Amino acid sequence: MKREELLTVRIDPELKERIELLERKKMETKSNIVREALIRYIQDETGMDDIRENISKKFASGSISFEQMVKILGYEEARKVAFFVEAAKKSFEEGLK
Amino acid sequence: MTKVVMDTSSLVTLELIGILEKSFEITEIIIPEIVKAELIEISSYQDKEGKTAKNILNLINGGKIKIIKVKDKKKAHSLLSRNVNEGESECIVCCNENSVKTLVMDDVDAAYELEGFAISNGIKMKISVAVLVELHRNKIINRDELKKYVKKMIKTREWEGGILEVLAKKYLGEL
Repeated sequence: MKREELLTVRIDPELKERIELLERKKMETKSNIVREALIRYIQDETGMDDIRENISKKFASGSISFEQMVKILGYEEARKVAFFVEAAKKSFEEGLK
Repeated sequence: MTKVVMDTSSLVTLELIGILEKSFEITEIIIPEIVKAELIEISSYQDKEGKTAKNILNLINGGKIKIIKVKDKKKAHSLLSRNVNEGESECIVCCNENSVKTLVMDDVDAAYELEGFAISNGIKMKISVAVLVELHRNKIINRDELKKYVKKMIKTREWEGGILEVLAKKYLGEL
């Protein structure tokens, strides 16, 4: 069996109360609730990285528009991708000029 | 001779692929003192980047790369954020104080946050591949060498499958 590691984090009292509420409602331990939340968050984020990479490549190759990219990544993330694509394009087209 | 300011990551990228010294033929590279400090820190690592940083420090000590003291530390401090560290903020202020119009920076998050300051001060932000393109434009390297170095850059920095590789294929053909 894999050895489990202990992770200590500081949270504010309101969040702790909400975890305790869930603890009673789901009849689960605090540990299980926090562990499940962490797993879900990490899975979402990792999945999002793949989506971001794919969409960025499609935008860079011209197969989707900025507006289409905004719909998937959100405005701020799409702006960052567009900025990098523009900087990279200028680097290829102009060199250091 | 094009004057450029380079951040630590772009210097490391260029030295890692073995093109930094060649770039002295077409560029005058300027760095703020903090970039040297960052390189000293990296040089203590017992890995490929540590060795690369040592090589760059030798070039700095040999006078091949010019170090400039940033005067307006307050301005540099005001540009700091979660994504912009001291090295990056001093690089862009260094450009502004010394009328250098090109900043080579490979950190996308930092460059994105500094975009507004760059635009309002007429500073062009480029990534390190621009140095390779410039070497090609000046006939220091031929097209095959350009492709070879771009490919090496993408592999060395683990940028495979990313935006740079997509654009490299678009502009240079199959690598």
